[in-house]
Amino acid sequence: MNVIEASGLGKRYGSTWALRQCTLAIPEGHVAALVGPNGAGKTTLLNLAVGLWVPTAGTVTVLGGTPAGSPAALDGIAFVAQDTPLYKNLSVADMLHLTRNLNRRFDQGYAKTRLDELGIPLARKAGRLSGGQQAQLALTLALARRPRLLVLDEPMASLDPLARHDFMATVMTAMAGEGEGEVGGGVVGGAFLARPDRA
Amino acid sequence: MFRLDPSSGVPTYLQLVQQVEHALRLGYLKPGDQLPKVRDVVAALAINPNTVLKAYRELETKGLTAGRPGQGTFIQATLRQVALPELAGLRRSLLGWLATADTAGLAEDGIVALFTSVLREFHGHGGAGGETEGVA
Repeated sequence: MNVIEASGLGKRYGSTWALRQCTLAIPEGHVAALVGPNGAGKTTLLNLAVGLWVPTAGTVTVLGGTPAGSPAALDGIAFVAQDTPLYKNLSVADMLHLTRNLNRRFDQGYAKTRLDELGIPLARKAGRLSGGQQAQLALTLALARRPRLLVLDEPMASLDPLARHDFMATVMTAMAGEGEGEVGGGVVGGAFLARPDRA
Repeated sequence: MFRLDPSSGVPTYLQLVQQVEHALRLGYLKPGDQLPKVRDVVAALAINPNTVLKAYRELETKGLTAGRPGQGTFIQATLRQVALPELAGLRRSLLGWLATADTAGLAEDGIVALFTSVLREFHGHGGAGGETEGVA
């Protein structure tokens, strides 16, 4: 199964093509990184894959042929956009409450345990956390949805080397899964992470 | 536990394999010992679980380890060519030599360079082929 499959994918803003003739397939169980200079179309590709934008040309499907942006696709994907999107005025507990109620599936136990391990206080406002903690909070909220595909756009841009290490450790441990022989996939720079179905 | 050297140029999975092999050669690991769980290695080093799995598969292919379903990966064979007391003696004499080199003012890089060059010379002089391996 391919977690992302694009064929002749393109996106145009006015007269400028942000992405053109993009064809790729990322099989499940992999961590994949998108590398390229600014303006190469990395963010565009990721936004098309998660269904935030509609392609101008070509097609993109996720999780084995599901059209990007369809309810079934949204259910299986978690996306952390650039600059760790959090409601800065909400407390960590409120962010948790919000995310839980906006999603069909949310592993409250995992989220609480993870935040506890990271030493992130539930009462603190999201905007008052350190950069590394904010990134970890956004990641934890994404992972608590138990996604089969995790998409990260420039997840570590503003993090120092230690925070980067911790962040990657969280991503990779989530990919290693709780159980035996369970390995998912991901992208960094945009990072995709998928887990095979629990057979 | 494993340690990674990002500047070594050696692929990550190979670093893991070599560290297990070194530990076996030096007697730090012996048959029956359990390797750390994939998940723990991943959490400690922040690397792709597939990389750890690749290293563990390689060790298994080499016949050094065996996976026990539901339990983990265990050391199965040994690589030690020299008995422990003898190894300890060699270690002592090497430490003595290192102290001499240090007194003479040779820095770590110089010591590695000298050792590598002498080792190559030794093997060149009919010291038998021996496997060549990058200096870790």
